Amino acid sequence: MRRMICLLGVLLICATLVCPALAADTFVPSIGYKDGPDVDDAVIGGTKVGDCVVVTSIAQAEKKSTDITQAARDELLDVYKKLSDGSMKPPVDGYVIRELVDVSFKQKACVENAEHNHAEELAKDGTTIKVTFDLGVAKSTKVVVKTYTNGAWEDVVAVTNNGDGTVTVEFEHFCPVAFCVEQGAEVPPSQTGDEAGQNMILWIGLMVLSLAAIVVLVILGRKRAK
Amino acid sequence: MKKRMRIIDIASAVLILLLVIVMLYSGLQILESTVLRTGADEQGFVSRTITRDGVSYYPRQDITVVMVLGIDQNGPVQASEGYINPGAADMAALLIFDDADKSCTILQLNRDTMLEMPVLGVGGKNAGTYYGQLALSHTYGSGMADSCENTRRTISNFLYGIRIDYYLAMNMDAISILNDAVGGVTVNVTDDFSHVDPTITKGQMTLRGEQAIRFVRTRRDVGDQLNISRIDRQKEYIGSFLKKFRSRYHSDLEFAATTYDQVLPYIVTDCSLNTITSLMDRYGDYEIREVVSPAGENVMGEEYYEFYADEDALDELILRLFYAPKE
Repeated sequence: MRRMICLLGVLLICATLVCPALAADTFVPSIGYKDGPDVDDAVIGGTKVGDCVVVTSIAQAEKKSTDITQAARDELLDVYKKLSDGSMKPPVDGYVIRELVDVSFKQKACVENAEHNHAEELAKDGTTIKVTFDLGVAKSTKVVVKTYTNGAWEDVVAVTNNGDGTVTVEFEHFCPVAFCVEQGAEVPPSQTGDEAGQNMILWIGLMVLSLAAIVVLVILGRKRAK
Repeated sequence: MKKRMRIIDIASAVLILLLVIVMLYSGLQILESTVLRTGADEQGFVSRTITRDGVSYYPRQDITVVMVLGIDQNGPVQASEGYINPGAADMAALLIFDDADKSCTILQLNRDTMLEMPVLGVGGKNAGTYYGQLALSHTYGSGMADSCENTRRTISNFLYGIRIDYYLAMNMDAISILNDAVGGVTVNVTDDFSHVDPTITKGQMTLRGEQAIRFVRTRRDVGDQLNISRIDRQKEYIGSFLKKFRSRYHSDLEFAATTYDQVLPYIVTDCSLNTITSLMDRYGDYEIREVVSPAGENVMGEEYYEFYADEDALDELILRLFYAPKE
């Protein structure tokens, strides 16, 4: 009997603890702003390390609200300043920098206090890391990625537009990264579903045929006249 | 023989004439079906004639469209140092002044509307597009005129390339300033605001100061916490505000200038005081006919809400508001 009462008591306590959890906040936030591309995935030496990679935007670097080294932060801001004031040319002619960010391993979680230091692993010769970024680019967009190392822009090992808005980049090392796309890509107005668009092919064809028929008739007429 | 040749010549001439007519008519159809540059050509808007069920519609030239944005930022407007700014467009509405029937229609767009938007990269240059929530369109650029133009372009493209004549983007603090400038705005509060602001009670009440901001901005812990419900509140507020604004404008000669000066640090606009005065003089007496929003579905994305406008309903709405049938 005593055990039964204890058990019921425990169940009652558990129920009172669970109820607030069940009545938890159902609020769904609205999107604020995209502070640099999200990292969908990262793989180094066959190991998934997406949680260890951090993308730092200009704004985050300025606020120091990011888990990267001071040197990395300063370098990113320095590059941005030079690009903004024109003292540095964009890394690729004819291309616009869509995103300029720092890509690093999280200092506290994955470098200083980590059992396995991925930064040291990446520093070894021949080791690369593949990071998939959610850039939101169209399937047809050509993306060129450059890293800024030792005062110069360098190519990365490989860039793949995955066709779903994400881009996978293979790096030999981390540093300021520029995601570049071709300049002057204008946004066309949305599709109207206008049937006249389809009819236009007919009208063009009709116009061309009319012109051709006129030319033929004129030529024939001149031959008859001769 | 001669007679036969003559008949052939006449027939050829007639055929050539017919073919010339066909060629010219085809050329005209091509011109009509492609691009019609409207009076806002300098802004690069491209409006097209649209054909539905054999009826051609052309963009109306007798409407004036003003884009009003509510930016999710407090304090005076400030340019961002970076090429992205934190000011999402939490509220986006078009005031459509119709000269034909002297009325104003307010088209409010859901900030979570999923659409294609231009991206501004480093240096403010066009860097392709991004498919996401409408609110993000204002976050590209410095948060000033460039961001407003980006949102103007985004909304225009979404609505078949309609012309948007002016814009006004305001930080949150501008709401309370404008609210109090018109002597407070009366609304019918139907949601429970007790967890947010106990001074906002159900029923008819006149909002003052911060109450106005909370009424139009807050959805957390208010009612069903959905953006759609917040839009309904915003619609009611805008309609009531405009009526009060019009009344004050006509009754107080200094009202426009005084209010403009008070609110200027908190807004980004391409309207000078003269422009606003002209707009008020011209459209100030127009009755607010309706406040509408595109129908669609609000769904939960990976992390955030996403609103997908119903294509057919949107098409009908665009034609009704911005186009007229060719007679």
